[in-house]
Amino acid sequence: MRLFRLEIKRIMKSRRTLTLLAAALLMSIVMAYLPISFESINRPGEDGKIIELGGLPAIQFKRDYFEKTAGNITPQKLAEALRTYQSYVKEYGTLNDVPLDIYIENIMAIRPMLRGLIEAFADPKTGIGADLMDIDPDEVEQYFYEKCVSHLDDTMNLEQKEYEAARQFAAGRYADVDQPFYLYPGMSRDAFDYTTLYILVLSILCVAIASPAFANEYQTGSGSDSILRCTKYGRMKLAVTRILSVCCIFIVIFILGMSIHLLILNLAFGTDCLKTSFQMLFSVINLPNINLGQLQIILVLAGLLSVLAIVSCTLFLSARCRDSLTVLLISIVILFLPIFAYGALGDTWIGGIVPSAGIGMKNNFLYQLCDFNFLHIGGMSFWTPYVILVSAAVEIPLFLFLTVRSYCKHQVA
Amino acid sequence: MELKIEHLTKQFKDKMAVDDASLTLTPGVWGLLGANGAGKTTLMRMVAGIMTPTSGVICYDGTDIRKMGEAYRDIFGFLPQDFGYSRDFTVRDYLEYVAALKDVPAGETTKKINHLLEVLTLSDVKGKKIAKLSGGMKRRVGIAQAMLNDPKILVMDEPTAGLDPGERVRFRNFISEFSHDRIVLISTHIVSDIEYIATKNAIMKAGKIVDIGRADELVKEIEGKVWTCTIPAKDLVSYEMRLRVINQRSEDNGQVSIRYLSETPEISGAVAALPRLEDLYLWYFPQENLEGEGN
Repeated sequence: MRLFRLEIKRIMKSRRTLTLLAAALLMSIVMAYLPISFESINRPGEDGKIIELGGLPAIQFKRDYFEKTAGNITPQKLAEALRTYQSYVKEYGTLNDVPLDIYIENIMAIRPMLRGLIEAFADPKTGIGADLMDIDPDEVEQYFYEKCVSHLDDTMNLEQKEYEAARQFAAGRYADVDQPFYLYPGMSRDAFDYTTLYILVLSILCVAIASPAFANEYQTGSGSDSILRCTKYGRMKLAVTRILSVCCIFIVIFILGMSIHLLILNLAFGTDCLKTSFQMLFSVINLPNINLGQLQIILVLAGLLSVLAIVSCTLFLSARCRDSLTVLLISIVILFLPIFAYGALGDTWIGGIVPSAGIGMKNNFLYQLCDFNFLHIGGMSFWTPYVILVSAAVEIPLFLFLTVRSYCKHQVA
Repeated sequence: MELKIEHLTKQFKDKMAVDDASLTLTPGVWGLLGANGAGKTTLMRMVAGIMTPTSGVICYDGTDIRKMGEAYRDIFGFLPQDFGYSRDFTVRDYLEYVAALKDVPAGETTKKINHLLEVLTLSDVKGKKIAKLSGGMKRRVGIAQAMLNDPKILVMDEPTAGLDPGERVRFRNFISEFSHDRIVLISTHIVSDIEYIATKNAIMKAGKIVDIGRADELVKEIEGKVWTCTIPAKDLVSYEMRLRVINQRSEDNGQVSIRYLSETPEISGAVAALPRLEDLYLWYFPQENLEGEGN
């Protein structure tokens, strides 16, 4: 415990570490502020002129506005919303021709509900979304959730035609999704995008802090390493303590940074939005049976697991390489590998099992939850979010074990 | 108590750094003399257990140090040639950190550190970052960390590098006192640092230990081979080309007093001088000059 305390003190006294940790906390605020600042809405003022609201005032307006339409998305409610929409569009020609005051009064509140209809009634062969004006409200009233199931089947037949196991898995998962969906509009997708982007930023900062953990001692001549290595606890105990210290600091900073980030977002958008079903913000055929609040928790936990996996990999490299710059460069390449692999090859095992899988842009864990990506071995199919979580859970102890082993076996130059 | 080095060899890709070295270290100060590249540092690293020998074994009281692991490191202190440290450490923080790694009880750590800081005249800079200290002070911090656990075996590689003459004298006295019932192995090519305190010396050349013994025993080898005489200053260059002149001092009337190594007197009027360890060193390593010598 004494060594652990002194190791924490040593790391925290480093100006480089303090700067990077301060940056991590600052970025939690910046990454929460940006999606809030993107919010905007136009509404008519008392004198008839259009008032443009942005940021927090826009969010506040939407919160008050959507309060009355929040609730369970029953087929009847959906059908009624569709009838309202169709009647106004028929009356004015197109949606763009509807006067702003009438739009805000009668249509804006129902639009988040209608988004799901476009998907559920999409063309079964092409997957192209339906036009709201072409959908029969009576059909919605009778078969909305059945249409969701059949749209999922259509999608899976398009995307996973050769993989029966994947199609069965998706159908099984979707059967567990709670219906009717719940909707409290307000929280934007941008907010979740910035949460995942913040996880990427945290990963870069953690990799930068972790890279010199062992390599720095090798680098400062061999003297520093030799001295520590010659002490009673300078081998395995030091390696384990150093790993624990680094991981503890990262866990605390990750949880603190994410807490600040989510606290700002939730205070701004309101916690009521968090009750919204995952399917109502992303796609009505998404597989996770969670609401947005649970999604935030899952993103934090999966993000933490991924960050620990890439940090473990960095620590291993640090125990192997002789200078921290090399460690940093290799770690950054590994960190960005899934992003480039996804961009170039789509879903591959490489992008799914590297320690940084789940961190990134289009390949991140949120997008994997939203998508129907599977990796296959023979007749077996694995949903990529599971692959990412299982890989990280295996890699963390594996890399940490290899770190200790490499450090203990290291020979002075 | 003894530390036995038996047939130790370290082969790097293209170089035999240590070649079948055998040495039994007993309590006292041991000087390990040798020119740069003689294999001293490699030998010390193997004694410290941070480099694996190609062959051979090192035993502490009959037990292989590699098998002893923590138990060996618990009684061991090491100062490497290049003292390294994390840049953000203050002197006190660093010593506390090393003390914890050496399992010095928490209650004794402060007392121990304060004592070493005082003895090594570092008390005034205990709160300063090591990176901001002078070379001599850094070296003394290195010496302090090596002694934190009162090691039974203390190995120091060039401990006096960067120390001023006064600091060297204090270091010698400190080590002399400390070495009671302990094995202290000091590697240096600055002979004067160990001449008066080393119980025994080992001389390394090209990876081999070529001689072992007390200073007075070792210098017997060159009895009758160290000469002094006075020559005209104008002839000095020609004598330097013919003889291994190891010291020279200007005298009055254009004369120079020289000390040189030779099997025979060579110069008429030359007088045999009492050989010193430094003369022996230069006998073994004729290419070395003594410009780096302190006092």
